[in-house]
Order: sequence, then C-alpha cells, then structure tokens
Amino acid sequence: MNPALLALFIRSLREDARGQATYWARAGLGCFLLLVMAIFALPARGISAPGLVFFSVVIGFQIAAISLMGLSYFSSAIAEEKEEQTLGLLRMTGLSPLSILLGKSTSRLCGALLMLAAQFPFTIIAVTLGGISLGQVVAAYCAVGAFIFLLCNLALLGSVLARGTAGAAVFCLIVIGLVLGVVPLLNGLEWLAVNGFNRHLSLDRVANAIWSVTPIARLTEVLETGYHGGAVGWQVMVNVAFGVGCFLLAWAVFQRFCEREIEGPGTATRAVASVMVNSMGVRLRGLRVPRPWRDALAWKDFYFLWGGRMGFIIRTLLYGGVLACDGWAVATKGTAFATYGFGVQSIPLMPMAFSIDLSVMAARVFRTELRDQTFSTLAMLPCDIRDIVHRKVWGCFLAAAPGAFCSLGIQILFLAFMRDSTAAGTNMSIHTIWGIQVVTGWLGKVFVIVLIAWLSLYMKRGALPAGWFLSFVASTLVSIIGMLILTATSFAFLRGSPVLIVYGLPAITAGVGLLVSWILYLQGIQRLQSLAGEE
Amino acid sequence: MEAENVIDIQNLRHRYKTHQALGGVTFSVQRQSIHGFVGPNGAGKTTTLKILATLLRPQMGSVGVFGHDIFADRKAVRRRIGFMPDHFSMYRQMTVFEYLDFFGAAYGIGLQERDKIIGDVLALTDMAGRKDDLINGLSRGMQQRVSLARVLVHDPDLLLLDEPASGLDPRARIELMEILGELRRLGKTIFISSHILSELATLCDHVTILDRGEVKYTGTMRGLITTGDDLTINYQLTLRAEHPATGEALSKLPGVSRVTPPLPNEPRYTVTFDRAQISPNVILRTVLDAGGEVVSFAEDVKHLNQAFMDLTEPGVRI
Repeated sequence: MNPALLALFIRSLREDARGQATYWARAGLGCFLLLVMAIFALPARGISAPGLVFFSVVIGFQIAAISLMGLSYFSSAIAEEKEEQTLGLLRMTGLSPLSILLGKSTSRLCGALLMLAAQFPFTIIAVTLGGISLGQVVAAYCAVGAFIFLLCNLALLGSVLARGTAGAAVFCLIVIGLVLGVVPLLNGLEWLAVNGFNRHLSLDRVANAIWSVTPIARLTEVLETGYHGGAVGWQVMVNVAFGVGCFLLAWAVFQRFCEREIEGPGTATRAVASVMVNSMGVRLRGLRVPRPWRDALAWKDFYFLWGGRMGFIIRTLLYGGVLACDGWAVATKGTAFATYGFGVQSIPLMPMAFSIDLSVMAARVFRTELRDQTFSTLAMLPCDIRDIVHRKVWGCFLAAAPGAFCSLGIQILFLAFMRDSTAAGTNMSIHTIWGIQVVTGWLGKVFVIVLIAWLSLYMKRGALPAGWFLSFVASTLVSIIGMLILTATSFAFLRGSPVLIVYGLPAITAGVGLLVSWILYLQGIQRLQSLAGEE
Repeated sequence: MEAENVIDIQNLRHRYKTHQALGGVTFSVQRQSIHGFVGPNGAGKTTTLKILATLLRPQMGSVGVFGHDIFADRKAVRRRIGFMPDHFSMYRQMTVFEYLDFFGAAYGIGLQERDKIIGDVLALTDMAGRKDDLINGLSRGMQQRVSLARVLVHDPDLLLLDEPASGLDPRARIELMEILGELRRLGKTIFISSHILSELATLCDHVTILDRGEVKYTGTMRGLITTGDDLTINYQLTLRAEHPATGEALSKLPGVSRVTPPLPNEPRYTVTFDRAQISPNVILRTVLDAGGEVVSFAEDVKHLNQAFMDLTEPGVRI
C-alpha cells in the first residue's frame, strides 16, 4: 500500500478509535442484541420458529440502524475535511484524489462491516433456536453487507458533491427516497394506464425489478421459511456494482467539486456565493422581517431558523393541501370512503411528515446555536437557561403550528367521520382504541423530539438519525415486551379482558416515555449551562 | 453609594478535569478605569472572564460585580455587564440592525428607546452606514465593531472584552482602541484581555498579569512599567552632544542618588533621584543652566513586553 494512503487510513482508524460515539454505538448494539437474546431465551409460548423471529428482529434492527446512523457516519468521509478546511493540507502531502477517497472511505466501511461481523456469532444462535438455517443467516448478512457497501459509496459521492456532512446526508436521503419512491410511482402509472387508457406499459415490471434490488425485498425473500437459494443474490451483485459506480463517480468529480474547498473559505467565489445564499434566505423568510416581538428569542428562531412567514405559508399549504385532498376524496367518492372515514389517505402520511418536520427542528434548535458559538451570548441574557429553552421551543411551536394543527385535526376528523363499532373479539369501541393510539402517538412524538434535542447537545452531527434509531429500539422493545405479556397472560385480550393491553400498556409506555423525557429535559438544561461556559 | 471597585475577586479557584485553571486569584477593578488583563496562553484569563460573565460557576472563592455576588444575583449582574467573547458570536444571516434590534428586545428595551440606542451605538462604532448589510458579508473588523455594538445595546456599566483586537489589521485595531477610549470617557469601566501589549500600555490605566492561574501583578500600569522603586525615580536625559559639566552638576544636586555616565557617542544619562526631595523640573533647570543642549528628558519606563517577560515564567504549563 502507498505509504501516504496507509498513513491516511491509519489516521482515520485512529480518529474512529478515539471517538466516543463509536464505542457508544457498539455498546448500544451489543446491549440490544443481548436483550433480544434474553427475551427470546425465555420460554416463548405461542411463537413458532423463534429463531426466525429472533433473527428477523435483529436483522431488521440492523438495517434500520445502518440506514439511519450510517448516513451521518459515511457522509462525513470527505465532508468533515471540507468543514475543518483540512482537505487542502491533505492534497499538499501529495495524496491523489483516489488515495484520499480510499483512505477516508475504507476505514469507515471497515468499521461498519466489523460491527456487523461482531454480531454474526450471536445471531448464529437463531439457528439453534430453530426455524432458520445457516444458509439463510449467511444470505441475510451478505444482503446487509452489500447494502452497507452501497450506502458507504453513495455517501462518499454525496460527501464529495456537498459542502458539508448535512448536505451529503441529504443527498443520500434524496437518492434512497427516489429509488424507493419510484416503485409506487411506476405501479401507480401502470394502474392508470391500464384502468384509464386500457394500455399495458409494463411499468410494474420495472418497479418490481427496482424493488428486487433493495435489501428489504432480498431479506423478505431470504427469511421466508424454506429458503434454499444461494448466499449471493441479485440484490447483492447490483448493490456492489452500484457501490463501485458511486466510488468511480466520486473519483471522477473529486477535483471539480473539492477544488473550491482547497482554495479555502476566504475566496471571493465563496464569499459571493455565501452572500447570495443569505440574500435568498432573507427573501425566503418573507418580504420583510418585522421588528422583534416581546419574546425576542421566539421571534429570532421563527424568522431566522424556521423560515419565518414564508416557511409558515409553505407548511400551511403542504399540510393543508393534504387535508384538502382528503376532503376532496370524501366529497367525490362518497359512501365508499365513508366506511373508513375522513383522513384515511393522509393518516399514515401526515403524522409521519410532521414527525420528520419536528425531528429536524429538534435536531437544529440548539445545535445551530452551539455550532455558530452564539449560545454564550444568549446565556448572558438576564434570564435563566430554562427560560431560553422555553422561548426557543415556543419559536419552534409557532413554526410547526400548521403541521400540528393539521395532524391533530385530521386525527380528530377521522374519529368524527369513522363509523364506530366493536373491535373484533372484544367489547372495546374502535373509537376508544383509536383515541388511545392518537394520544400515545403524540406522547411518543414528545419523547422523540426531546430525545433528539438532548442528543444534539452531545453530538455534532447525527442526532436526528440516532434519535430515531433509539426510538426505534425503544418501540421494538416495548412491542416485544408487549408480545411477551400477551403470551404470558394467555391472550387476555381475546378472552374479553382488554384493560391491560388497551389501557395498561399504552399508559405504562406513555408514563415511562414522559418520565424519561422529563429527565432528559432537566439534564439538557444542565448540559446547556455547561456548554455556554465551554464556548 | 456603590462600591469604588466594580469587580472584586477574592481567592478565586477553578479546576478543569485535567488541570487547575485558577489557583487563588485575587484582584479588583476600579470604577471607570480601563483594566488590562494579560497573561500567556493557558494562564486562566478566559476562565476568569467567563466566570465574571456569569457563564461559568466558580468552584471556590468570591466574585463580586458592582457589589453583587456573581451567582446569587446573576440577573442583576447580567443587566450591568456586556461580554464580548474571543470568538465571533453572531447570527450571520441577520442584518446589522436586526442583530442589534434582537438583543435590544431580548434585554427588554422598549421600541422607541431601542431605536435611539441602536442609532447611538451604530454611530459610536461607525457602522451607521452598514446597518442594512448582512453580517455575513462584513469584514472581520466590521464584525468586531458589530460585536462591540451588541455589547453596548443594553448600556452596560462594565464591559468584559476577551481579545477584542485579535485577528484585526493595524487600522482596525487602532480604531477599536479609539472606540474603547471614547467609551471610558462615557463613564464605562472596561476590563480587557489582550495579547497586544503595546496597545494595552497606552490604553490601560490598570493592569493585572496572570500566569499559570496566579496573579503576578495587579495595580496601576505606571507602577508596572516604571523602573524606580517606592522612593526613587529614574529619568532619561538625552543631550545633543556630550557635555561633562552637566553630569557633574547633576551629581552635586541634593536628592540625586546616581547619574549613569553616557556611553561613547551616545550622550544619554540615567538620573536616579528621590522624588520626595527633588522634582524633575529642578533637574531640567540645572541641566539647562549648566549649558547642556537637551534633546529629550522623560521618565525611564520599561516596555510592557519587558515587564511581562520579567513577571511570567517561560515554557508552557504541563
């Protein structure tokens, strides 16, 4: 290996080894595995093929973890050098673009694959538990490994193209979103062509072909009972091929996109670009920013962080538009839709979009102040840190109001329009069950945003995916515990005693969630106080 | 009536995980003075400033600002101090006016009063013509002025400035020092940390030198740079040409303890005399009466750099 490339590779490994986040991630994964193993080691009455269920949970968890945490981990490969303005120094050492790309990405890829490999022996236990063969385990790991390779190189390409880690992560998200989004789009177009114009465009085949190269499709196939296929499937080959393609593209455009960073941040081009971007920002905030409100902090965040009036209008149009579409569907489709009620189309979409919106706000609300080193000046204001936090949160609420109003509105309207009945096998009202789900859903949102905001006080980047990931772990654990309670009580729900499942479990979950949120809030206040002194 | 000392620090100690930042610091800052705060890197200057700015809680010792305990009366202290950190702490997507307006509103200043104050601070910092510019588009010197304007928006009595001139070009530095001089004339007390000693020497009337968390000197600037002791004072006398009669006349004067003879081709004397017995005017008159052609006659002072080097230890703290 080229000595310079080796030095870069070792440096990257060292940085990873010294970073606390790596160890926390590994410890977290290990704890999760042990917990899931402990749960499945218990006598699981009513679960056939416990090994398959155990392995499915673990592999599903890994895919979610890699997709969420890997985005920020891989996206920082070149972007962190740009942010720290050290890319020019690397180039001065005589390292070629290929060496830099290899040195920076290989260490990350190694780290991720090693993390995966370390879990392999534990997951072999699934074979002992029964219901899954060793071939299936190996095939699943090959699928996940190929996906990691693709994600790493896609993020590397994003890292070369974007100015910073956030931009690179957004690039990856857009590409993944486009790939996953094109499948229902093509299916929809095919349905329209067949039903509207009586023509077959075979777009569904294209959609199926695209879907077949996703790890989800491959894992679904591999984890079916009686799978006897090979370890390396079509998805693995395509993912690896696309990964190589992304790497080659990153190499090809490296010089073009990294040159401006090498010139340094003080160049005229960058200054002009920055002024232009900011001027656009001023225009986007609205025609004119009004004078500060009595609550100046909320005013600042509302206008300068969340887009101001223009952002408010855009959010209102987007959320309100979905609401209007639902209203239109009910009005035009009539009784057929009345079976489900108003909001049937946007119920899965709107709360998710609102959760994403809130999560982005939670990740940015304090991180931007800390990144720009402005928090110490806020902390100097004649008020407590607690007041500052409340005022900033109020600014977020104002910006998020359209989403909150529409999300809550659609859930209430759904309840109002939905025909009430008794849930199958119980004497519980569907309205009651749905109402409890709505309340727990909102309390869950509180937990997620508090968690993300708290994580952002410790993590320079990646608080959002980490928060989602931890929430995913928490919800998975709650589901598993719920499932165990269900089996331990011999399906009490079905025997007409739904109190525990319908009221008890959500109450416990919400109570624990709120307690943890409160602890995180108090600890976060202390953390902010100390961060103000550290700036 | 308020205390004469604006800042009163007694036996202040603060320890970080790996090292003791402050090991029993004691000093005070007088009202309406410009008090320099100097020391090598890692001496504990920024820690002291952060404690004074109520951002860091002291672990031991007492810190009073305007007679208030720094943490018990935190809000009262914050209303009367303005802190300018050593980094640019700015909302770059705001215009200069929006930035100042935001802080004015955050301090609870009413709209009309705010307009007047912002106009005044923009005029003082010579930024009135740039008030609608985005902060991001301003040069470093301009941003430093905006930062200073922000500190002044709530009309604090005490300004805590941490390296306000770092990274500025010579013109911007000189202009900043002129603004600080103007602020003192307006009745502000300024506590300034800086590494640019030559500028501090001309600007400050008091100085505290900190090294490795301990105060090495605190007092007047004159007391630091003067070369004499409590009783005697040294003056430098430079003549146009060598004139032995002058030296003899000075030696005979009562109260003059020593006259250092000139070096070859350098007709400069150092006269040491008792300040209680004789005044510099008498000495100068004696020189003129003796026929010496005077080029300069001034108190012999050390350069602040020299005083700093004498008081601080070489090397870095381990």
